[in-house]
Amino acid sequence: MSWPPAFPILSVLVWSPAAGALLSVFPGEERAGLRRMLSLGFAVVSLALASALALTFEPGASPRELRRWIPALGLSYDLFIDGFGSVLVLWVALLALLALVSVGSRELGRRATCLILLSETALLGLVTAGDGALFLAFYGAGLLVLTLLLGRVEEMKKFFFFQSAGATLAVVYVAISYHLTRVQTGFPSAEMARFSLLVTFPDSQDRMFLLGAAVVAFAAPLFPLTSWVSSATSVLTTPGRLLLLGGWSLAGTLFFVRAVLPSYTGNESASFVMALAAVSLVYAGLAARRSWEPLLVGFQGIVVLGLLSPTAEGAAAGREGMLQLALASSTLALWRASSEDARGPAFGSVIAVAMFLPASWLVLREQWSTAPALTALAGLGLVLSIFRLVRVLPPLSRRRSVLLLPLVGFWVLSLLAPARFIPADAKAPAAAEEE
Amino acid sequence: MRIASFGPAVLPLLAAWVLSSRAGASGWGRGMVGGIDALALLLMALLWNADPGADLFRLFLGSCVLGTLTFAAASPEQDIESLCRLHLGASLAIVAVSTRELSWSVPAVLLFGILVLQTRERLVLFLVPSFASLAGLVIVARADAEGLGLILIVAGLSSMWLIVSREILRRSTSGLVTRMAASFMLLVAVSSVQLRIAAWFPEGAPLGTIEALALVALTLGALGALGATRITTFLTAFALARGGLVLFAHLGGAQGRAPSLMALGASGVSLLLLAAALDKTDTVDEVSNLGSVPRRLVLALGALSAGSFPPFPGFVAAFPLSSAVLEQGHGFSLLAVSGLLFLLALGSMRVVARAWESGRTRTVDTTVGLAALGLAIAVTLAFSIAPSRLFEIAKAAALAIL
Repeated sequence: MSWPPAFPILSVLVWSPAAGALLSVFPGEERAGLRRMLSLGFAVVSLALASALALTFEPGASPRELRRWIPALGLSYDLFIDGFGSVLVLWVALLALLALVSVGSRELGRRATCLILLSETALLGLVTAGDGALFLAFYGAGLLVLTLLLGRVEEMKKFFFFQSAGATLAVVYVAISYHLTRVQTGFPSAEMARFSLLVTFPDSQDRMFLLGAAVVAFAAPLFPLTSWVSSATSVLTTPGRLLLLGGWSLAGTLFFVRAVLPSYTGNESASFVMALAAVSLVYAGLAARRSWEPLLVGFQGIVVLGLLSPTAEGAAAGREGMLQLALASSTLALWRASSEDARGPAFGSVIAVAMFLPASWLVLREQWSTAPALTALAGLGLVLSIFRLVRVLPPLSRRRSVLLLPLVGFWVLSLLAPARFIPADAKAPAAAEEE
Repeated sequence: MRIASFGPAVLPLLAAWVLSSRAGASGWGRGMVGGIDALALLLMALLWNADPGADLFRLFLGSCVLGTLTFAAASPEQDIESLCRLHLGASLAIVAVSTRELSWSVPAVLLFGILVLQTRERLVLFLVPSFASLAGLVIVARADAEGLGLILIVAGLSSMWLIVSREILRRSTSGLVTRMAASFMLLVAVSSVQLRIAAWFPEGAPLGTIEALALVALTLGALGALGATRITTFLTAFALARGGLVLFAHLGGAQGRAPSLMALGASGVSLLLLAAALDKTDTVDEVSNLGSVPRRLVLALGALSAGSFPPFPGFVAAFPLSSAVLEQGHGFSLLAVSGLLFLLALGSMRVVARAWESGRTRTVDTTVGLAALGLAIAVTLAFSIAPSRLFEIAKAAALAIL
């Protein structure tokens, strides 16, 4: 089914949570119930629109909104969704709704409600943006909102330091790509689909890839740029943790997928990034034993390994891993970050592990043929991480266990639609080069 | 039409006269001053459309000066003398941006500098670069060593701006808007001279000097923004950093002129908003006490725009500007500037994080003025939702530099 061209469904999807945020400012603290109704209403509208988009998605007829934003500069307001995007918008909309219902209306004040809805807009914008400048605008907005959600100065500064370093590198990456596009075509453009044409600049390709990988290393994060993870997750309440671990953890790798990988042709720098990803996994397995935050770093390692996979199946597994990382991390977000009383296996941790295992297995299997040593190292890290995860998490309360249900449901659905994760060009770059 | 074109330069003098009279301190007197400034700005805007042969570059920079002046007049400033000097300086700034003769523009900029400096302390620091630029002017006029002359003019004016900005901004914590307005108007005047020099002498323009000065100003500003504890030092750092960025934008050649003008406009807006939001605050830690939500919103908008952080004003100009600078072969400097802007963004977050820290008892309820709020809304709309028209205006102005 195709959507009527006159109906800007993507804009409505992206901006309706922001409208909800604006309206949720008005009810005072004594009218918390009304505010909750308003915010939930807008989150449900987003979820309904995202579901409609995901269910009606057809590869050749996906909706796209292209408006001239600054024509003289070649910047446009370009929103689109591909197969992967259709799954991600549904995930983000579900995540925001979960964040809103994860705590009671009295616990969730005006500020938090507003920030949750704003972060939903930023994340939906990130997933749907087709123009580099627009992507960065949503990236910056999301980063700012997540920073404000932290609420405490020291944690805000630490989180912002690492994340804005990634954002600055992303701006540099897009600015250089914009320049190269202008040199190549004679017209300036920040359209990310055009970045794949930059393979004709072999001199700059290696450096550009490293620049893009540095964005992921800061934003994802990869070892050793991880010191913000513990402090951020420990000060956030459950809704904030859900958005940080389940939503924002996608931002860096999404930049990698949309802006960097289209012009990647399997260069030498990739080995360095893959080694960093494998070390991140080992770090996750060996780091301090009483908390689960380092696991986020390890999970990101396996996602990056997958995205750099030489085969289409591996690349698809990397994309699947992005979503399953988000799902598994969201499961972890239901626990407090530092589980000092934790002892013994628990049902919830098994679910978190189970969510990540299929994609991890596929990634390691695809990487084994080209980089066996790195794959073995990554596999060792993965096994250590899984043992730690099972050991560290205590049983979950009944109310929180209910919140696990939609996550598990979404995971099962994502397993049923593997075609959505295959890149649009249907070939991993290295495989294409071999041909 | 010719008579009307003098209006924007003369009207601030009239406003200065009102301020120096007994009516200057009264509410209606201040209202009249604001009205006169707004009229001058309106006249400038009318000239843009009414006169087909108008110098659009002059009108663009003149609008920047008069917009800043109107904003300062509408802010709750207690120090009438500073405001009066600012108005006299505005006339000089309009002369400096309007004339195509260096022998008029350079002295006008220097006079403006000494007018707003307002103190004899460290006068020698002001006089050395001023004499350097005058010496450069003489050398250029004799045309026997044009290169050295241009270097002296550019380096002298830029250093003079650095020194004057530092001196006036660190003086006191009240009346920050007027002093920031003076610093920015001086930057506009200095930029007009430098952009014209770069356009008139494409081969002999001292780009190396501009590059070095830009990097020095940005470095001082970025490090200052990270380390400052007093608000006056913090604001001085931001003014220096934005000035450095504007100087750096001049390296983009013909392609970079329009984004350079956009960066200049964004700098003015961000610095004025920042000054308005931080007025009468002594230390960076005191920002935690600000209770007014509009004031904290204006502060966040100003601080993050000053750091060119996406999606705030000034961010979109980064793309054409980077492209132009890369084309001119200043790739490494561009990387250095990106790093310094990252530090500046961290400096911005120092105040934004304090302003929005949760769970604090906030004791200062003073809100930000209506002028600042209006400017914040207008800027958000202009730079974020309809930047296309803004860029077309900047492009038309850039084409008119010659």
